[in-house]
Amino acid sequence: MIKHYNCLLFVLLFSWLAPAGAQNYTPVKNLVAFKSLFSSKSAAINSLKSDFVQEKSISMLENKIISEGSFIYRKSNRLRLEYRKPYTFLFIMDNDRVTIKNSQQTSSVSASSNKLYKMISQLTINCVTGNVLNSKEFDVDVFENARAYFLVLKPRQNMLKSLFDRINIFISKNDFTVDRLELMETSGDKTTLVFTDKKINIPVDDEVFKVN
Amino acid sequence: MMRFLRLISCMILFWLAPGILAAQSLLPGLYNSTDSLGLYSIDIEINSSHFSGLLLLKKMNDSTIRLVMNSEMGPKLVDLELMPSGFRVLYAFPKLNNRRTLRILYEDFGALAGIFARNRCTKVETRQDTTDYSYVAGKKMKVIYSTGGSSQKISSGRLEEGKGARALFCYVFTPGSDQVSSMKLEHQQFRMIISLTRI
Repeated sequence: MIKHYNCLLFVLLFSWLAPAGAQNYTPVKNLVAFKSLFSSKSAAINSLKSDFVQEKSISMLENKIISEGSFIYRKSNRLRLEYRKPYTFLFIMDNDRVTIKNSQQTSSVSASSNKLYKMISQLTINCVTGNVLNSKEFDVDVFENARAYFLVLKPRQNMLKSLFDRINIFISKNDFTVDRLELMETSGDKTTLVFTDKKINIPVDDEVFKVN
Repeated sequence: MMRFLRLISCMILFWLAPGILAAQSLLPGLYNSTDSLGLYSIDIEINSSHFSGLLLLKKMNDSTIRLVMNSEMGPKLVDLELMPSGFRVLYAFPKLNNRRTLRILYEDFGALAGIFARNRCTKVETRQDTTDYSYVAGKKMKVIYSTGGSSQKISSGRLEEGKGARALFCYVFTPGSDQVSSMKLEHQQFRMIISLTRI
């Protein structure tokens, strides 16, 4: 009995210490005020340019697959994700048109015809624009510490549920842009995108969203 | 009676072994490599649709190869265990999660990865400078690997269903090495092309 009691105590102590110790995030008290602030700050972002490092952890692999590239967003629905290392892959969303270019070929489809691309690009844009907080596709919990907000998105839709257990988004309190995005898959695999060298509201040419 | 059965078994093994061993030692890349892990960029064209992503092939043991296909930007789409006599679905994206699609993926990637070479080698045929090795790949399916030119490496193959070719495939090797640098498989009865390039 004492043994069981000790085990229970240890589990309770660990579950209490782990999240607090790792991140020091506490729930945001005034969610309405946060939403309003986040929306107004995001609305002021007309364009965003940054580099990113993507780490993909696959349960069967000891090492992570690390790729690098650049990210460009321009209001209201234009996105360019370019992977440069260790493979080349270009994803461009220009309103409803998605163009993909890899080492083999280039293809262009309507975003609405490809659910997966639509979902990923929409999620990325929603994070940048702040719409993610009002999304009907996720339940959102918001936490904060001194430097950042931490959003936990739990999918409501079946298709999203089959892919993701949850999505973690870390937003800088300095400029209200995404520092880090974690896609936690139902299989236990995880993809992390870390955005660096962010430049806000610099001119972004139309040509950026075209494939040569 | 037992001695007689053992003798027959030994004779069958003696008769089959040279063909099997000859073919297995020639199989490319993944199958015999000590570094059995292969990470590839993958490109699939199906009719007018196009998909690209990352493909991971890992030899788990002598009779199992794990296949994981991811989109470049994140989530896993397919996770299968390929075995000589069948496959196990560990995960499949809902749109891909139907028996026919998964069966096609199993047969195509099973052939490319060489898992069917664990089955019985049914025929070894030599013509000029090419040797064909046939293996069972299902009830009505067989896979035939062919050596090419003077290298004696397996350089191409085909999946046959009944008498017709269902898919043709080929391997490209890194110069001066036994490592496969790229593979391509093309279906003959409908438009589907799989291209893999090692990362």
